[in-house]
Amino acid sequence: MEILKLENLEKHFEVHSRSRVRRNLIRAVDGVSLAIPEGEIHSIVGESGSGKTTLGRMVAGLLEPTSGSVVLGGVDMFRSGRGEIRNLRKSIQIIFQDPYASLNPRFTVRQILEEPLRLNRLPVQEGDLLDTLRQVGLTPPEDFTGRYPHELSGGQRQRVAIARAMIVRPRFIVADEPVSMLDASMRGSFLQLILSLRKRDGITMMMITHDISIAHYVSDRISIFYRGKVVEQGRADDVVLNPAHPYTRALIESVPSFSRGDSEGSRHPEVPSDVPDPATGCMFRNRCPKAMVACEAVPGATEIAPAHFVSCHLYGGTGVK
Amino acid sequence: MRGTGLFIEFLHNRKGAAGLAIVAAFTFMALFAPFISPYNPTSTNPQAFLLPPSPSHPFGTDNLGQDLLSRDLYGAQISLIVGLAAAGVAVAIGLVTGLVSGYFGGLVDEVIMRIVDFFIVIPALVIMIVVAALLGPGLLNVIAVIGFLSWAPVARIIRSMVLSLRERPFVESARANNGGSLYIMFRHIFPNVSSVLYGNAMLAVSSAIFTQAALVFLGVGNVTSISWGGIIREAYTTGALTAGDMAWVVPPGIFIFTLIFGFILIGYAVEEIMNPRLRGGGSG
Repeated sequence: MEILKLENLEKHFEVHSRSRVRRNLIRAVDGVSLAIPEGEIHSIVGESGSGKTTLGRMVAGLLEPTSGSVVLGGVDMFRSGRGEIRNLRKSIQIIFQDPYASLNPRFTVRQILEEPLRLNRLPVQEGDLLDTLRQVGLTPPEDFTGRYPHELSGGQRQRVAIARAMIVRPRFIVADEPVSMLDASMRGSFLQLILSLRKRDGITMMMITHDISIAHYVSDRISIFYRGKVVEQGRADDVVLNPAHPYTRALIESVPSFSRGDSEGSRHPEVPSDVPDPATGCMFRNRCPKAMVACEAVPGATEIAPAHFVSCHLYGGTGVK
Repeated sequence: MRGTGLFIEFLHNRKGAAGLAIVAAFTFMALFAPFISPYNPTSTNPQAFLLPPSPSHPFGTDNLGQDLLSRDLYGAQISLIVGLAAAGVAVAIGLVTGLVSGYFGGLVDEVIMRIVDFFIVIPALVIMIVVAALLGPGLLNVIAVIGFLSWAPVARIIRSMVLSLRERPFVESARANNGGSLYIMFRHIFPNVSSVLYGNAMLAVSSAIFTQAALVFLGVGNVTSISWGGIIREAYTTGALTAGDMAWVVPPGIFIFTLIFGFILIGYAVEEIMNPRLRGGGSG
């Protein structure tokens, strides 16, 4: 059963140009619908500026959508009673990208972990606190409770941030680039940690990342995000091993590998990144190596394989003007 | 534990130690003026007016025969009281308006910032003279006038810090966990602006001390109580300043300058000590 459901979620920002006459509308999130079943990890993969963080902030209830809805466990996050929303916020936690900014420098680890409990009127129990620290690999936990963030390494801080999200036993976690600020040597163990917490507590998670290899490693399903829209979505293996959308292919080809590029290296030229976005139609078409006339219309989603959706005219996406 | 560590660090800071020594010396002067003054500062002596410096009157006497050293020692009281109290008023108003303005933003911010602009642009001394004249003399009036007219720079500094702090992920995390605005302002934002606030409070004290002296010199406020500005004013009105009676004007001038300098040194030391910590704790 799906626990999180996004329905046609949109967030538009108005940008006032200097002349004040012309207003630009930035469609940061432009009609996203997806459902995440209980216990699954769903990754949102996209480049910077694609709107994936805006999406995560809406799911965590930090930003009100322009339209559409976020429904968690049957409760609409923005159209329910206050009490219900309070409860909902308790069961959604967020892990931020930058462990140097996500912990208050004036709080001790103990205060950081107690905060979500107190704010949500949950009992603060010493045993829980120490257990949670132990679970995220901060052992012995007694050594950490009295420390301030500046006395911890970046990896330890991120463990504290994960512990803060875990301590209220949430049903759903939004992890916004949880490993991108960590040393590469530490990423593997963090992803393992996330997987082990999922296994133990059955937590459902939405992970936001720009790195498709990380997404492939941890997630069950992947949504590829481009300019506020999901352009491809499917099981992690399907999307990574049989990428359909030209953008997905470009993302996968851009992953550096150990094999030196000569043999198969120049299969595809890299997609240019410094071209302006088109005003209409498929947003990727100015960069797309396979752009065609049909791309002047917005492509609809096509199911090219079971539960594998692509929004691209190459796959007969029905045009919507 | 953390507090004493910071205090020790403060004492090891050269500026901090020097500033603290200066302020401590003047505080001692103010508290013990009745015991260390050689004469009663208000007892006149028709036989001994306008004396030049001598062993019995190190700074000489004024036109009424009052001992100037004694008056200079007593003068520390008013300067410290007005300086600290007016700065307290200014910092309190500036802190609250800055927090509210930066945190809530929008129309509230717009309105508060336009008021701040007004207070920064108007020549404060002129307004103070007018308002103080309307309110009449009295220590509390002087404190209020200086305090209410010098909170604007504090508000602006605090607001700019709040603007960046309120977007920090640790604030968002509290908000996502049902943390209310008041909670976030006092638990998360205030502690992170406090270091800058303390530094600015010290600077506010020094400017209040100067303003008080200037007001008294200009004849605003209670000119009969003993203060450094008042002593210089008396030297000016009796013509001693033009006559070049240095022992009358130079000591209070040096005292004003030194005490202000002491608070400025403390302010700089506070910021120096707190800032690397803030940088270490903020975004990298």
